[in-house]
Parts: sequence; structure tokens; C-alpha cells
Amino acid sequence: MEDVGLEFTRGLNVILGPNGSGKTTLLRCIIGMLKPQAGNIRIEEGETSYAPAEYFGAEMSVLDVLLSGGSGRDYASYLEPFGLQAFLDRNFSSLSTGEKRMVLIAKALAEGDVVLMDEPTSGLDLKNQVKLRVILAGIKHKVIVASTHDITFAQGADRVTLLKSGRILAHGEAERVLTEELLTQLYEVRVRRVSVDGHTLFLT
Amino acid sequence: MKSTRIALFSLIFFFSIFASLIYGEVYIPPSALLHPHGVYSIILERIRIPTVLAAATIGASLGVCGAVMQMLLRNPLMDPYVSGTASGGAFGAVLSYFLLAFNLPFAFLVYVSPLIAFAFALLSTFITIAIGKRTGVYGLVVGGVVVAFIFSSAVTILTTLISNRYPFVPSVTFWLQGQIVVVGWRRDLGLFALTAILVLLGLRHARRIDLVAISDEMSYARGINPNTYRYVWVILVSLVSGYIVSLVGIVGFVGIIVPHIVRRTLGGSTTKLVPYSALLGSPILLLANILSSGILGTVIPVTAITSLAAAPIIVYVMVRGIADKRY
Repeated sequence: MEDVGLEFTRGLNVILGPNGSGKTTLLRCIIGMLKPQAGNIRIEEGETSYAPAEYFGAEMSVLDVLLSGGSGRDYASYLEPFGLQAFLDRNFSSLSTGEKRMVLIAKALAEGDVVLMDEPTSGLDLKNQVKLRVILAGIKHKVIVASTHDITFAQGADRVTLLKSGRILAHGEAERVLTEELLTQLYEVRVRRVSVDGHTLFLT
Repeated sequence: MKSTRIALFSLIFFFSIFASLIYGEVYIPPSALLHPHGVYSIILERIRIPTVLAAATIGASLGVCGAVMQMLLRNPLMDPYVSGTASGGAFGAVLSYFLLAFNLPFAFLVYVSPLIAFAFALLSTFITIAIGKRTGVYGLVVGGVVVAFIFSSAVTILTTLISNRYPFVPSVTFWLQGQIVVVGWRRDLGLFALTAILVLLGLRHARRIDLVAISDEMSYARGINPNTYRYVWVILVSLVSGYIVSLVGIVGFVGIIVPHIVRRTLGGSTTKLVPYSALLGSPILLLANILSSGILGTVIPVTAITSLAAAPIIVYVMVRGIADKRY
């Protein structure tokens, strides 16, 4: 990665980029798992949390997964929108991939003021993707940084960063950044932006 | 019902202590427990009770070590034996006897032996992790097997060499297969202290251990460096294992059997695994030790019994594919 100078503020910040562009690497630098060779990363205030793309399906109850790390925060308000209250006693490893992801996303949202998510929509069916987008759109007091290659998800963001091969292609409001030219350049496929019934769609 | 199972474990615990006091190379009738007299009193005070306490604390420690290793290394087949830790410890313990060749007083050995055992237990564990960490669940197991081969062979060679000159050095079978016979109370104090520290730390860190098990990234985000964390626990486990091995030789598989049973009956969070692996580890080793210590007519090394008990569980874990829960 090179010349990455960014600021993430309250609301939903999305890092959009193709596979291998460095999205996960950037997230891992923010939590301190990887050290940048030059420059620094500063978290102004608050606790950090992370919802990973890959994790170990541990044999413990969902409640124990939520309580792991012992943050003492209240999970109840984040369980309900995800419909997870009924899952508390179930064995985490027996849940479906999508259900496990939602548990970890709910945990990250409850525990962090700065919430990092690695490809949060991957593994989620359409209904849960919509649920997630609605929930995230409603959280304005946390700094959420989510990496994705899902353009629809990026549309709901307050700010979008386009990351290609370790470099920033563009950064700013979704409307200004998600253009045909920039997206075509990003994905190296012809991307068309179309308006249908007042909604913006992206087609290849 | 979970509370029923906990009550059952407690019952088994008390029963096994009672049975271990009565049964052994010499049968002590229950009445003699209440009113010890004559030779029974001597056996109880000098040998039987210290041995029972030793086996109980060792069983508890090994259960907790196994549970913690399984969580931190994300591997349901780990324990201080499979990881090669115990074999390294045995090598260190035997090596310390070489110091006798430099005319060090034998009494000195009591303090030095556990330290050298710890050093080599740590070394062997690091080697196993280095070999196995990149190759999935079975990588660690294979790494541990290789490391155990190496150090067990070294133990065999060294012991054979020394025993000609110093016949009082414990035999190869003692080191590699274990034998829990403790005379006097001093060793028990050390065992009890280490076990208490292990269990208390395990309880205090239970939620953190759970988190490190689930995801390295989540751990970093919460301010825990998972690799450093793992190394610290490996050091503690090696310390405890090294001490145990220098005292009673290699006692294997308790660390696999016990957390597995706890996981299936009470859940797999470290908050449950630590206390109940301690509660269940004691009786399992006590009962194995009853079989080992002469009730069958002759003394049988204890690891031979624990490994037979563990075999069906290991096969079950493998066949059911439970081990394949990697990323």
C-alpha cells in the first residue's frame, strides 16, 4: 500500500475495492495487527472493535461469544434489530455462516465506538443484507469503517474510499465517488450507472 | 440439566478421593480411615494421602492445561502430552541427573530438576508450534508427535546411560509412562500452589481466552496481542507440566479427555472449561491411579491407562470431523 492518507469520521465509511486491493490490510493496520512501514494511524477517542471475515467457529454458546473479551457493554439493543435474542443459548458453531457473521457484527457494533468490519455483507442473504444496511444507516454516533466490494452496500455510505492496488483512487461522498468512470477504472470492467424509478443502479 | 451434571461431577470427585484412600497396593478398610492405627496410620500419613493429593492436583492441572491449550491453539486434540511439552520436560528432568556427575549433592536435585524440566518443556512446545502452526489442526498434532519421538528417544538413551552409574535414577518406564507415588508432603505443596495459580488465572482470563480463540483480529481490536498472549500461557503451561513431569514422569491424555467431556456436557466457553476440567480432571486421574497403583496385582504405569481411556475420544473427534473447524 502506498500514500494512504485518510480520515474516517462518524457515520458509515466504506472502503470499496476489488479483491487484493488492500482493504483487509488497511483494516488490520488500524487495529495494530500490521505495522505501517512509515506514517502513523491515530484513533482519536473511544474503543475499537472488529467484525472479521474469517474466524474460528468456537464450540460455545452465542451468549459466551458475545461476552468474550469482557467489554461489559450492553448487547441487548443490538441483538433485537438482528433478531438474535432467540439465539443466545445456541451453540455458535452450529449456526449458519450468515448467522455467525451477524452475531459478530452485532458484537462489534455493541462494543466499539470505532467499529471496523471486513466485508460485512459477504455470506448474508438479501434479507439480512437489507437489514444490515438499515441498521448501519441508523447509527450516526459511531465511526464505522467497512470494507467491501459490493457497490450497492457502498451506496448507503456517508463517505466512500476507492482503493485500487494499495492506492487511493478517490475519496468523498458516495454520490461524487461512485461514478461510471471511477468504477470502471476501479474494477477494470465497463460499469454503467443507471437510474430506475429514482434509484441508482450499477450494471456491468 | 446443567446443575445435575455439575452435581454429578462433584459426586464423582468425592467418590474418587474416598476410593483412592481405600484402594491401593494395600487395602485400607474404611473404618481405618476414621480411626487410623498401626501400619495403616503410617501408610495413610506418609504415602496414601500425599499420593492422593498429588494425583488430585495433577489431574486438575492437566485438565486445565489441556482446556487452555485447546482454546488458544484452536485445536481439540491438544494437551501437554500431545504437544510434546511433557516429553521435553522428561528430557530436562533426566538431564538434570547428569549434574550428579559433577558431584552436586543429591538434595540439590530436588530444586534444580523441575527448573531444567521447565526449560526443556518450553523449548519442545515452541518447536511443536513452529513446526505445526501453518498446517491446520493436524499440523500441531504431527509436530507434537515428532517432537515427542525425539525427546522420548533422548530420554531413553540418557536414562540407560546414567542408570549404570547411578542405579537410583528412575527408570525409562517411569519417565515415559508415569507413576504417581509420593512420599512426604513437600512436593504436594508445590503442586498445590501451581494448580491454584493455574486455575485462578484461568478463571480470571477466561473471557479473554475465549476471544483469542475466536479471532486474532478481534483480539487486536480489543487491545490484546494474541500471539504474545499465547506465548505467556504456553510458558505457564510448560512450567506446570515441567514440574509435574519431574515429579511423576509423563502423565498423558488427561488434558484431552477432560475438556472434551466438559465441552459436551456443559459448553465450551473457557469460563466453564477451566473450573470443570479441574473438577473432573482430579477423579479421572485418581481412578486411573487406583488401577495403576497395584490393585490389579502389580504396578502399571498410569499413562498406559489414561491413553486407553482417551483413544475412543480421539477417534470420535477425528471421525466426526470436529477437528476440521479451522477458518
